Amino acid sequence: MFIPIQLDENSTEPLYAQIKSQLKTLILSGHIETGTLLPSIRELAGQLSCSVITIRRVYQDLEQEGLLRTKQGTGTFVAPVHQGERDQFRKRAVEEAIMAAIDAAKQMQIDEQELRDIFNEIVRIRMRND
Amino acid sequence: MNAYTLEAVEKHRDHLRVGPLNVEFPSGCVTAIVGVNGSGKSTMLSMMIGLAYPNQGNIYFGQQRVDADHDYVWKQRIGYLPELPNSEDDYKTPDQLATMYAYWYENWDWQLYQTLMAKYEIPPKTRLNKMSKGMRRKCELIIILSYRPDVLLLDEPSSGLDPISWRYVMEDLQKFMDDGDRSIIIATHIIDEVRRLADYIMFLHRGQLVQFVEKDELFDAWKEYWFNISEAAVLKDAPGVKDTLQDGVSVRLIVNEIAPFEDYLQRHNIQPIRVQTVPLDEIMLQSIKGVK
Repeated sequence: MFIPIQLDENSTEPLYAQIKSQLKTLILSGHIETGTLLPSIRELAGQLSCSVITIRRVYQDLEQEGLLRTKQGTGTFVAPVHQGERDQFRKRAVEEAIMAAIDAAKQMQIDEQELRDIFNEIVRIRMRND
Repeated sequence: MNAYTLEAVEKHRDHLRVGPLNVEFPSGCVTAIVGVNGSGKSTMLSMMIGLAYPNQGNIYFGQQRVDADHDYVWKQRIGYLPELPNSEDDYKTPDQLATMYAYWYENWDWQLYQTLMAKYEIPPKTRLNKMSKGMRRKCELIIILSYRPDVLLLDEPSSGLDPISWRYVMEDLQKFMDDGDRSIIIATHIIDEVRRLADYIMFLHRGQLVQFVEKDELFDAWKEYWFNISEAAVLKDAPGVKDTLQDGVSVRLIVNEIAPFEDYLQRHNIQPIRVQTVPLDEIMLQSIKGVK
């Protein structure tokens, strides 16, 4: 199975953190369904050109967070995700995007009122088309 | 469990003093040995297969001490590909060589041999010295894979390979690792090979161990930052900077250990224009600068 994870080598975010957050997003957004058998540690390491140590750590961490389950001798599966958790995740994803927008505004020295105006304007344009 | 353990291993040669090396090669992993020519990579590998004897120290393959006694048993479990072809095999054909290996190696797998020979399109009845360099290399690799060893010791396996064969070899080495207990120790100059295959990187320089490090940790620890020239004065005291390049427009810093450096940027309120990964050859260059 091919997992659509794209690594940015030029980021200062460690590879481990990039893989973990992307895999988490794929699971919580429902892109990878409950019960899916994930690639073996070696296979995913090969796909992403990273080390098995990193992948093992990601799988172990996500297992501890209850998102993955490992069956001895069979492999690692996506565990059932509760709807509540999924909703929380969706909200958090949007919150994070807005926080990034606020950081960008600060960097560009745009004040609160101006930011709100930009936000409302974009919401008006983008949401109307959908 | 370690695939190999080196304890205070030393080898003295006229031009090179290797060691003392204390190294543990974890099993289930690929370790890439990198270093400039003459850094001791081949010497170390030949000691690990028992072809050269250390002047000091001990080498263990798993629990087994690597020495001349009973080598017939444990050598079955190691696939060693030397840097240069064995001239004794010059007048043999692949099939003759395979027959010999099938006799000596308990796990010899004819079917695997045939499959790989077909995949790499090696003529089974052509003498090895009549083959191109790359073809002979592929043939040697097929032979050592076909007795299904637990550990591969590869000394620049892809020298002479065309790009397509190289990809096949990378795939087959990855396939070899599917069985989680196997290990590969590979000396290489090809940076792509390290990126694709390695879990650990071992840096050798002038016979000394510079670093033995997990690959992702290494690349995470080194970044190149670009700044506007106006920040140059403040950046002079930044921690972790290994090298500085400067022109009229920008300053480029090569940084090792990025966390303290990032802290410094935040405290001084400096934004980089861009950040990028440092290629392995640059990391090597920076790492050996301080080593005498």
